[in-house]
Amino acid sequence: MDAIADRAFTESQTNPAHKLVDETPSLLAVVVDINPLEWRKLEKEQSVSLKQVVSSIIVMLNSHLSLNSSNHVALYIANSYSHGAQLIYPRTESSKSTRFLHTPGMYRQFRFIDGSIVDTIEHLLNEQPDTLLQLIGREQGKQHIKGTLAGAMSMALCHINKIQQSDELNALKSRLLVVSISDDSTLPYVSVMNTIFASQKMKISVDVCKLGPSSTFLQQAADATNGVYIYITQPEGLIQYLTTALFIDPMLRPIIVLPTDESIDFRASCFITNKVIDVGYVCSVCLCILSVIPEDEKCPTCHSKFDHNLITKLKRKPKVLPLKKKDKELGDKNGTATPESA
Amino acid sequence: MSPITGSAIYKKKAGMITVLEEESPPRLIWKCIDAGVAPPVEILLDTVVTLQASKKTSPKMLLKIGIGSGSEVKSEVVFAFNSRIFMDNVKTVLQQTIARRKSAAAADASLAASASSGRSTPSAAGSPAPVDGRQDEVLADMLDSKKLLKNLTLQQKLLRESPALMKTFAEAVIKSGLDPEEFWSTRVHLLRSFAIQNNQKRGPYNVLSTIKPVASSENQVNVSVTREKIHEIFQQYPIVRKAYDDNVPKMSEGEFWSRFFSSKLFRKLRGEKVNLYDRGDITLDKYLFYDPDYDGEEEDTDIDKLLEEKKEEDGSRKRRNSEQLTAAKKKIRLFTQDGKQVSKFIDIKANKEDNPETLGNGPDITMKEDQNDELVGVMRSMNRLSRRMMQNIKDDADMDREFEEELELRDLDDANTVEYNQLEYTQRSNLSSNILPADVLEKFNSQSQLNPTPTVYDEYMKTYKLQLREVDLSAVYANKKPLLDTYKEILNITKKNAKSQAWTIKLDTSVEKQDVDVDLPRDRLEALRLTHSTSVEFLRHFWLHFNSISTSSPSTNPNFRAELLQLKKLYTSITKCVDRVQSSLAQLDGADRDLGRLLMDPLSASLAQALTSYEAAIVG
Repeated sequence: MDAIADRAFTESQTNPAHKLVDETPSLLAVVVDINPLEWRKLEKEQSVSLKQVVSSIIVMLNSHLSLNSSNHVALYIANSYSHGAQLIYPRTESSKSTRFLHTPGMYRQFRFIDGSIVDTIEHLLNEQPDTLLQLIGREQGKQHIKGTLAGAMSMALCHINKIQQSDELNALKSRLLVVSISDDSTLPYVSVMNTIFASQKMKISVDVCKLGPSSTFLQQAADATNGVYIYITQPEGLIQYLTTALFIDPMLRPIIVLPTDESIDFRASCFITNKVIDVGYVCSVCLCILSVIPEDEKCPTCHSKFDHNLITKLKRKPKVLPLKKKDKELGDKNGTATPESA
Repeated sequence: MSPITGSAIYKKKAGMITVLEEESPPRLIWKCIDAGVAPPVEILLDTVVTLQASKKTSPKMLLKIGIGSGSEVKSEVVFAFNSRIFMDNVKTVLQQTIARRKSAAAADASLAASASSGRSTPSAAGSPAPVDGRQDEVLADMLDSKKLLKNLTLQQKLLRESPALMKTFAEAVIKSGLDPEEFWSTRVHLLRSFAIQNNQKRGPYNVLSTIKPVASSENQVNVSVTREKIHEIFQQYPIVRKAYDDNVPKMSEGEFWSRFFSSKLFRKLRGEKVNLYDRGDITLDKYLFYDPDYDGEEEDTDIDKLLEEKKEEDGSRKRRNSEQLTAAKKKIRLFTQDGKQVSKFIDIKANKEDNPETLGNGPDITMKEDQNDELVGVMRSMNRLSRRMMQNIKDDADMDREFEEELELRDLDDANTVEYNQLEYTQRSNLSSNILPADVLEKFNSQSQLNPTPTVYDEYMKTYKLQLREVDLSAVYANKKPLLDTYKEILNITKKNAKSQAWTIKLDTSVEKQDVDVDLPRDRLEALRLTHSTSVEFLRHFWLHFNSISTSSPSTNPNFRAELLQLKKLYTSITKCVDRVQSSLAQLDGADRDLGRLLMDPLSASLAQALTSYEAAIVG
């Protein structure tokens, strides 16, 4: 637990500057949320489309690559209904893209990368079933599609770890950018927290570019890893966000003031209802967080049996004296009655 | 100490008064000069209840002693004195004796209380002041929550020491009538830590290392030492005491210390490197050549004896004169530990016989042959220091027992087996996070299977799939306006963060500066703050009772009714808090009021929450 509690980033914050800043290459990993029905909502409400976001991200990736010839990028998608989380770039089976992006005079290397990214995403989109029926069928029990944003983040962290373990690239500093559009109910709490701890240990900052409803857990992720959480108020200017606020190299982080949203919501989510809660119960064995007392009086996560007496105590309602009448009479009345309705 | 004696007049007859405080029980005796004229008066100091003396300004010098038991005064004795000084003496002695008796009685009472609560404590309650061994017990007893709540003196002391707490106390308890016990019940931890703090004894530490010469602006070196530190230095470095004893009447104390801190001796004792050519102090540096193991005068008697014996042995030697003898005594320190039994475990002589030197542990760092002299010197002086510090601790912990435990062989003991509970684990959160919106699912499941209408998903998929057919990377934005706005937005966030970061850094360096920059007049802000802290105090007690009362019932809790009433009282207090917040806001005007409202909003919300919870509970 010590290792988890270790705030890897405080050290660098307290002693800024005075460090030699050299131009080591860095890796930028991006996770894009492509949850179709959320995109539908976004298109309606904020008039921003997946196309805009993807092209802005591609431009951002190109900018990153052009900063240093040894810079790397990685791109993941998350929350697709039929494919879950997927690696988009770099893929091992590279199919040469024949696509001509409307960019004459573009650097050849970029064209390969960009083409392959657009091709792969489009390919994945096309593989999505046409109707909901084909996607989930009629069986009620199986109509469940897991949120995979945390999964994609884990995959990206694994990718970074793999690169950092390799011989020639081990000095590579890395950061992770999450472009999220879904709300917290699609985020598995425990997985997100584990991802946060992992990136803390690896000293990888998680930046969050948030469209749609704001997310408590991603705020916490950015805060815990010295990353930038920024809520996009003007999607038309997305490229500006991506290439300034979300474009801060890991080497610069200890020195500059981050344009992150500092008011962070630190609440946790209930393990049963999956809703963010203010006050709740905590299982004393596994620390699972509950907003309601389970019917079977067992912890839903670790199946430990709760003390029955304690639960009946918890369920009891507070007893108070009525307000209006005189203290004396009521004291007697309430004192002798047996008030129990829970 | 000789008993205090002096003349005093009792019932207009001259006589002698004597205070026998050493005796048990302590007494005060007045005897008439003419033995036959008046009978002697004897007062047991244990029975003294009140003590009154005439004012310093008044010409009369009277001392009135009230005698009785408990707080009751049965009779009074008045003495008249001729000398104010003597009267004051008598008065202070009496005061001290009474105070001592009271504290002893308190200790006894607490002992008795703990004995009745089931613990076995020695019933000998005769000795007045608590002796050292009992100190721990008294302290442990004092830390009991109930005792802490009753310990008014401790509470007052704590209040005096922390003005912030005093303010809350004054506001909540004195002005708004919160029960003081109630107030302290949530702060038992504060009382406890304060009590411990007050009773803690500081252990020995290396004094010289804490003394740091500070260079002042006038090219001088300043060293500040307190009485306690000097005492510690004397204890840990007898050589310094020796030097002090030898020199101080000759030079002034201040001179001695300034010489000492600039001497080589000081540097050597601190374990610093001393070069031959360093500037030192002639008077004090001769002590450098004294035996570093010099342990003070108290052993000189032993040395005397030994020297005496030696002289007798070789009688052929001339008797030295006494001066030479003392000089020799000071320079040579004989090994006086012959008589002491050295444990075989650490006795090097014994080990040498038993162990061939090729085996076993290597010798201690200070015992090796080819060792750096300086290093050995430092190690030796550290060892010496540790030894002296240990000597000064008067601890009767069972050293033998500890030693035995260290030596005990445990490899044949039964190994402890660690037992585990098996836990099944289900990751609920992964199961419950469905990214399909519930409303879409519901619609889908409720429609007829024979004639399905396309869902939102089906409709959207058509356009969604076409999204990336055409991608134009040269047009990621339509016009420059949003870019500029975004730029400004990011700049603003950065500025805000820079400001708050600078503020946190300032906070780190100076703890006192905890004020937020709020554009409110200082007194207004202070008033709001006070209202806030008082309200929070009441809220805290409210919730404490509100939540605890649900788990008790008239049958389990004898104070059930009282607690209900208490809770109701707190409810009214909270309604008053709401009024107070309103009125303090009403005192502000214009923009200040908006700001004040902003500041107090969270508090108002929590007050309202408490009120509604209470009201809801009435119906249920």
